[in-house]
Amino acid sequence: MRATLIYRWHPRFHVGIEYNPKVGEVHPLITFIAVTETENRPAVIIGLSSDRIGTPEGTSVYATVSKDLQHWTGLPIAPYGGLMWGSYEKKVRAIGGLNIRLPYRMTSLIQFDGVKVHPSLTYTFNDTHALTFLMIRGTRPGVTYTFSF
Amino acid sequence: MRKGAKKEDRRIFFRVVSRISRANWVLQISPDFVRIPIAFFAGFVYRLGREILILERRVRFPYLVPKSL
Repeated sequence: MRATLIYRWHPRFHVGIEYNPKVGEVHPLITFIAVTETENRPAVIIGLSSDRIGTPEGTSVYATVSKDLQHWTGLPIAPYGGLMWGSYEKKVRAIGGLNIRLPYRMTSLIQFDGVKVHPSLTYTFNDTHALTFLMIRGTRPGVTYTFSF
Repeated sequence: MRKGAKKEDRRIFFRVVSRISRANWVLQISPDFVRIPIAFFAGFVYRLGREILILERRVRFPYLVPKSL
C-alpha cells in the first residue's frame, strides 16, 4: 500500500508527500520542470522522490530529459532518460523509459529505474479518474488509482 | 501483501508526475494487488470492454448506434 498526494503549486513546480503505511514512512516529493518542452526542445525535469523500487528506504534525486517524438516520427511515443542518485545505495544510475499513447484513452509507460524494468498500462476514465495496471520488475502485478481534483 | 514479503517488495512508486489532467491536486493510491475488491476490478474491465465495443460499432455501423451511448 502506498499513497501520494501532489499539489501543483506552479505549472513548473509540484510538491507532495508519499505515505507508505505498512512501513510507516512519510516522504517528500518535489518536481521542478527546469526547461519546458516545445516542438523542438525537450523538457528537463529535476525532482526528489523515494528511492527506486527494491530498496527498503532512502531518497532519490533525479534529472531527466523527455520529449514527445510524434511530431518528428509520426509515432505516439515520448521517451525520457536521465540520471538518478539514490541515498540507500549511494550510487548514480542511468534511468529511462518510454511513454506510448494508445487508443481508447490508454497510455503505456515502460520505466527503467537503473536496475529493473517496470511496464504499466493506464486507462483514463476522464479528467478526474484513472486506473493503472503495472508489472513491478515485469513480474509482480500492481494497481494504482489516480484521483485529480 | 502476502506474508513473508520482503519490506522492499512493498514499495510502488512513479517518478513521472501524472499528466492526465490540469488539476492542481493529484492523489495516487496503490493498494496491494491481492486485496483489491474483485467487484472494483471487474467493473473496470466491464467499462473498458464496453467502451471498446461501442467505439468499434460506431466505426463499423455508425448509423445503428444511438448517439446517447
